[in-house]
Amino acid sequence: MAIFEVNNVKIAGLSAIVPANELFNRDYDCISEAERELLIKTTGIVSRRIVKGDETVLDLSYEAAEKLIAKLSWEKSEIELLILVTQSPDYIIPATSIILQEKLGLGKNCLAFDVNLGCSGYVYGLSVAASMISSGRIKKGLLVVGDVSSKGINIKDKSSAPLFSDAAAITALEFDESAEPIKFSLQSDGKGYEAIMIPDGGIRNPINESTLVEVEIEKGIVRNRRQLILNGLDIFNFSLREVAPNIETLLQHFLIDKDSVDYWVFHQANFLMNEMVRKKIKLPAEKVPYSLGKYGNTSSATIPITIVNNLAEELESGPKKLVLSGFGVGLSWGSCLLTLNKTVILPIIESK
Amino acid sequence: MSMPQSDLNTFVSNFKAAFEGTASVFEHGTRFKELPEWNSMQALYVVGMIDAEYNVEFNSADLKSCTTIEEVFAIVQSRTK
Repeated sequence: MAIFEVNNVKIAGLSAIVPANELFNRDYDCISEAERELLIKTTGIVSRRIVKGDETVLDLSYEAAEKLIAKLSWEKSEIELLILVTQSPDYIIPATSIILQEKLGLGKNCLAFDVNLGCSGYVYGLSVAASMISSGRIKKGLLVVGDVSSKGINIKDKSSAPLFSDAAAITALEFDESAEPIKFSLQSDGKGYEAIMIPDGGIRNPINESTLVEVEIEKGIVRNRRQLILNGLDIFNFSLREVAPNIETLLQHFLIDKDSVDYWVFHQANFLMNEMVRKKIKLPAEKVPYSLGKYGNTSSATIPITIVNNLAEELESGPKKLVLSGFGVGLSWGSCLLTLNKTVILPIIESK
Repeated sequence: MSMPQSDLNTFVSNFKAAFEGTASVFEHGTRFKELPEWNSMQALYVVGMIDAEYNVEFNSADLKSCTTIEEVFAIVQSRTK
C-alpha cells in the first residue's frame, strides 16, 4: 500500500465549474416513474449538469482556471506545473494539459501532463502535484480535474445516463514550509478493470465497423462500444469492501484521531453506497457533506465540487482538517488527510 | 449441507426488509427477479443488506446465477465464517 506524506504544500485556492444546462432525473423518461423515484432515492441524484454543444474539459477548465488565477493574483509566469486528470481528453494525443497550458498563457517553463484517472483522480492528482511541489523547486502549480462524461454515455442507458454530470475543478497549490503535511493512502486493483470501461477506441480494440452499432444489452440499457459500461453492482461491492479499510489504514498509520477531522469528503457517486461507508467508519452525518443531489457524479471533480459547494463558508472561519476519499474506475482508490487554511474558494461557476 | 431453517427464515425476512414498502410475498422459493419491484437499484439494497447483516460479498456474477431467495442464501451461507 502506498502510504506517505507530503510536506510544504499549501492548497492556495479552489474553483469549480459546471455547465449551466441542468437536467432533472424526474424527467428521465427512459425508465418508469416508479423506477425514477427509486433511482433518485438510491443514488441521491436529483439533477445533473450536461454540456451543450462542443464544450470539452479544456473549455471548462480554462474558464475556471483563469478566474482562480486572477482571484489569487498569481503571475502566470510563476505557474510551473499543470496536471490535468481526465478520462475525456480533447484528443487521443497530444495531452490536453499541454494545450491548456498554452491557452492559459503559462510559460514554457511550466511542465504539463495528463493523468488518466476518474473517481480516484482528485486524491491521486493531489498526491502527484503536491509531491512535485514539495521540494520547493516548483513554487506554484495547478491541479485540474474533470470530465465531460456525457459525451461518452448513451442517453438510453439507464445504468449510467442518470448518474453522470460534466464539470471541471481547479486546485491551486503553492510551496509553503509552514503548511501542514498532506497524508496519503493509495491503492489499485486491475482485476476490476471491466467494471467501468469504454471498450473500443484504444489500441486493444481499435474503432471498427461494429464500434458505433447500438446494441440493446438488456431492457433499458442501449449503448455502443464507444460508450461507457458501468457495472453498478460490482462497483457498489468494491466500495463497501475497500473504502472503509483504506480510510482506517490512513487513520491508523498516521495516528489520526477520527474526532479531530472536521469533514469527510467522499467521491460523489451513490448516496446509498456512501452512507453505508459512512456508517462502517461510524462518522456523524453532519461531517459528511453531499453535493450529489445537485451535481451528480462529476468523476474526479466530485470532491473539489463538494468542498466548493458545501464547505466554502465553514472554511472561512479558520483551518479545517479534511479527509478526502476517491474510489472507482480502474479499480483505483485512495484517501488523504489535509488541512485547508486560508484557502481562497470561488463560488461555483456556471459555464454558458 | 442443509441450512438451518431458522437462519433461512431470518434471511428471507432480511431480504424482504431490503424492499421498502413492498406488498409482495417473500418465501424461500420466491423468484425475486420476477417481482414487480425488482430492478438494478433494488439489487443494491439486497447487496447492501448482505454486506451489513452477513459481512460477505455478493457480486453481479452471484446475482446472475440465482433465481430464488434460497439460492442467494446458499451462497451467503457458504461465505459466512
